[in-house]
Amino acid sequence: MASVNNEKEIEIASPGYRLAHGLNLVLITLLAITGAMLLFPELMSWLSYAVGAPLAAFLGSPYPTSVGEELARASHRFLGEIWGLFLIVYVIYLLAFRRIHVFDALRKPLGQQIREAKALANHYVFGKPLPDDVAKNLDRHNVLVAYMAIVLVVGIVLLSISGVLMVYSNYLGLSETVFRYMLLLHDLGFYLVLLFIFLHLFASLHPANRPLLSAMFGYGKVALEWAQKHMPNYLKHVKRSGS
Amino acid sequence: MVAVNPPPANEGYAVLVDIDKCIGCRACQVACKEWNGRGPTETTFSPTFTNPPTYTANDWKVVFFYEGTTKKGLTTPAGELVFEQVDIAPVPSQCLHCVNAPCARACPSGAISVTPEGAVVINKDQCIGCGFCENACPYDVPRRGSDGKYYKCTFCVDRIQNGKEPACVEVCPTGVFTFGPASQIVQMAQSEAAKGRTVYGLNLNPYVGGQVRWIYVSSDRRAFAIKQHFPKDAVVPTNEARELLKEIVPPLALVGAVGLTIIGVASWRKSRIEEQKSAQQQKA
Repeated sequence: MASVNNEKEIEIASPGYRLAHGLNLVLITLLAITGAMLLFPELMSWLSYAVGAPLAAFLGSPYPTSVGEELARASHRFLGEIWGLFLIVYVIYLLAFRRIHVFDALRKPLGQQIREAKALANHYVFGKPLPDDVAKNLDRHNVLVAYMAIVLVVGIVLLSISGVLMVYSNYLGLSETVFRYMLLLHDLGFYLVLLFIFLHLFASLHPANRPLLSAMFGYGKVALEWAQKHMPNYLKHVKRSGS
Repeated sequence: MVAVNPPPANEGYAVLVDIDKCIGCRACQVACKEWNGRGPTETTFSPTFTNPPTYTANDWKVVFFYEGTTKKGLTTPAGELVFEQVDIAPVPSQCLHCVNAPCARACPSGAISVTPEGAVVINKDQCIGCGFCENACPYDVPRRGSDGKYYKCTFCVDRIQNGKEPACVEVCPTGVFTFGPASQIVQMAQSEAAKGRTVYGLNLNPYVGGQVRWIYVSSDRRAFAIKQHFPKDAVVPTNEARELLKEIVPPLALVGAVGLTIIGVASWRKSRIEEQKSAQQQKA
């Protein structure tokens, strides 16, 4: 649980949260790379060759690119299942312990959400200062983060359902038509997750959010002064629950 | 490494299939199995004579049978009598070897190549069994074998390269198939179309390159079989959408990544300048 310590720091990412994030990061990266090798073979053939050549030499195959693709396909299916199991366990934990706060910003009235979203976009894209009424009501996850989370959830749902159905299509006796729709949905899910990754990277690598990045890959803590500016509502909540 | 460069439609070889001449003997089906060394397939009974009911990894050529009503004329002393009658028409079918084969475009491992003869061929040693070819084919041709790899007609490219006709063409007792240079076969098909016969294989969807190398012709008597056998539009809409997205997304992603980086740095710089200004104002 988050806490404020005497060194003027506040914990915003618990060890469990950071561990889950790290696992997610590794699995999503590997899945995205192996998936891209299958989806964009022309663009990724250099990688297929690079990973396939040693194995092809070992197997005595004269087709290193094909061996690389086969490796990517097998890894993609295996890693997908590992990721799926991890997500199921993690979501059960989040639901059981009521730890899902990323959508809290969506409880605000729609007009307020739009105003906050505009102000945040202007701040991050054009460098404009945040209006006071928006700045003082910022929670740990702002409304843009909530919207991005929706994109991520939709993307993951599309990826996981279509992925499982495709892997087990023979056992389930699915028709070719269903398989074709699943493949399209899998692609759409990937593009949605890709959109999320771009926006997430933009936000997390934005120099204004550097403390957040350091916290996520460090000890999970940010300076109180920074938290006061970027998530005042969250700070109030932590202080209240701590007192 | 996985790029596909098919020869133009008027180069390579093609076959004209006149189903009016087909007697449904399945000699072509057997010749295909024999030449390509494919094993037997257990008989499956279905409501039609077609056996096996569709292509399999061992049955690259199948004679499909269709039932339909057709108009027939009978000359009587009282004059010509035209009547409708149920008829059965065989359609010897295999991979149509699309001019721009979607299966070859979809294959991620480069296992499907198009030879200079125009044959679309799967190299089983390169096939990874992903099924993207089956997903992309509007004619549902490639089939998964028991080894997990995909198989289909090779246009007997090994025979063509040695100056022979495909096995099914050579064995046909009634001369259903006319094999020859693509330009010549296309001309023949066009002249058949000009005579009012039903032609399938020309002026198709750009998804298959607008044309295939096995072109079917029929009189009105058996046109119902062509209509029943081939899809109205030679396209797989879901795969067409995937191909479109695959063209759009990479450049968009590149522009997005560069754009977001520039925007991020510029906005950070601007906010830094504003912070410094306000700090100076506070000091003053």
